[in-house]
Amino acid sequence: MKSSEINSLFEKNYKRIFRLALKMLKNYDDAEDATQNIMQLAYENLDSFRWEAKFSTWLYRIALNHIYSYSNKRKKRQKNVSKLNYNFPDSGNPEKRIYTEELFKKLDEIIEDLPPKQKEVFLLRYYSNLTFKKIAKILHKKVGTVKSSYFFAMKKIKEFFKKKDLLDFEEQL
Amino acid sequence: MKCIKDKEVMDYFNDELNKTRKKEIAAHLDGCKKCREKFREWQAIFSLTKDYVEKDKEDMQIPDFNMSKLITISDETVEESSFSLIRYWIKPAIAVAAVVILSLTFLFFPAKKDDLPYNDNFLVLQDNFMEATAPQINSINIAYLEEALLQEIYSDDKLRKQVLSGELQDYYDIIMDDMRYNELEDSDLELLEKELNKLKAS
Repeated sequence: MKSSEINSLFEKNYKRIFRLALKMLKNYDDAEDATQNIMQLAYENLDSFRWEAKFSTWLYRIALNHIYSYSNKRKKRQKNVSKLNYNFPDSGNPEKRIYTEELFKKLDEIIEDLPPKQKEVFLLRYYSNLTFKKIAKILHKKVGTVKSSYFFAMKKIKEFFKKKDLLDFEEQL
Repeated sequence: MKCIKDKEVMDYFNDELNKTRKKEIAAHLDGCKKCREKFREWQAIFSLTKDYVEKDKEDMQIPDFNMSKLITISDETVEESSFSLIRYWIKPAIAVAAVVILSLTFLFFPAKKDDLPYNDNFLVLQDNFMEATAPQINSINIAYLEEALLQEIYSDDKLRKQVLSGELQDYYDIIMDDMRYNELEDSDLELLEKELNKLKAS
C-alpha cells in the first residue's frame, strides 16, 4: 500500500471519527485529543491490520474502543462537560428560529440520554453516515439487532415529541 | 393488506425496502387513514432529526487533520526505542509480566459482563488488537432491560395472555417486531401465532 493511499484513507475517515468522538464525549478538547489518539493508534498498528478486512471497519472498532475508554477515564476526573449551542444565522423569522432551537435542544437531550447501545447505533448512522450493514460489521452484531437498537432510539424520540404534542411542529411554524 | 408496523415505516424512511413492498405500502396508504397518520408522524420525526443532525454537523468546528503529525510522533517513537538496547529487552519482559499478572487477575476476579475489553497496557493491547471488540460497554443499558422485559413477558403466563390477546398492544408489537428482526425460528413464530389465534377465538 502506497503512503499516499494510506494518507487518503486516514483523511477520508478523520471527520467522521471526530464527529463521533465529539458527540460521545461532548467536549471539543477531549474529542480532538481522542481522535488524535485513535489515528495515532491506527497508524502505529497498520502492520497488524489484515487488508482483507475493510479499513474503515477496523478503524471504527479502534475508535469506539478508545472513545469508551477515554470517556470512562474522564468520568473519574471531570464530570461537567460543555453543552453545545446552536449557531443559527440571525436572518429569517426569529420566532421560527427560537422554536427550532428549542426543538433541537430537546432532541440533543434525548440523544444524550439514550442507552449506550442505542446511542452508538444512532450516532454511527447519522454522524458517520454508515449503513446498517456496516454498523453491524463494526459492532459484530446482526443487522436485525442494529436496526432494532436504531428503532428503539427513534421510537424514544417520537414518543417524547408526541407526548409533548410537538409532532405538528411543521404546522406550528 | 394488514396495517403497517412501526418498524416497517422506519425501514421505508431509511430506504431499506424493495420496490414491490414500497408500492404495496403506497397502495395501502391510499385507503388507510390510520397508517397515513402514522406515516405523517414518522416523517415529521425523521425530517426533524435530519435537520438537527445537519445543523449540528454544520456547527462543528473540526480541526484540520495533519497526517505528518502522526508520522512524526511515530518516527520519534521508533528512533527513541532503537537508541536503547535495554528498552529492546524490557518491552517483551513487561509484556510477559503483564500477561502473567492479567491472567492471574482474571483467575481470581472473573471479568464482569460490562468490563471494557480494552487494556491500558499498550503492549498487551497490541497483541490483542485485531481481536478487540469495541462496544461491549453496557453498564446502564436499557436495551438489555428491554430484553429482560421481553423475557419476563414470555415467562409470565398471565402477562403473556394479556399481550397476546391484544390488551397490551404495545408489548405485542414489540414482541412481534423483536421476533421478526432477530430472525427467530419460524417454528417459534408459528407457535406464537397459533396461541394468539386460539386466544382470539376464545
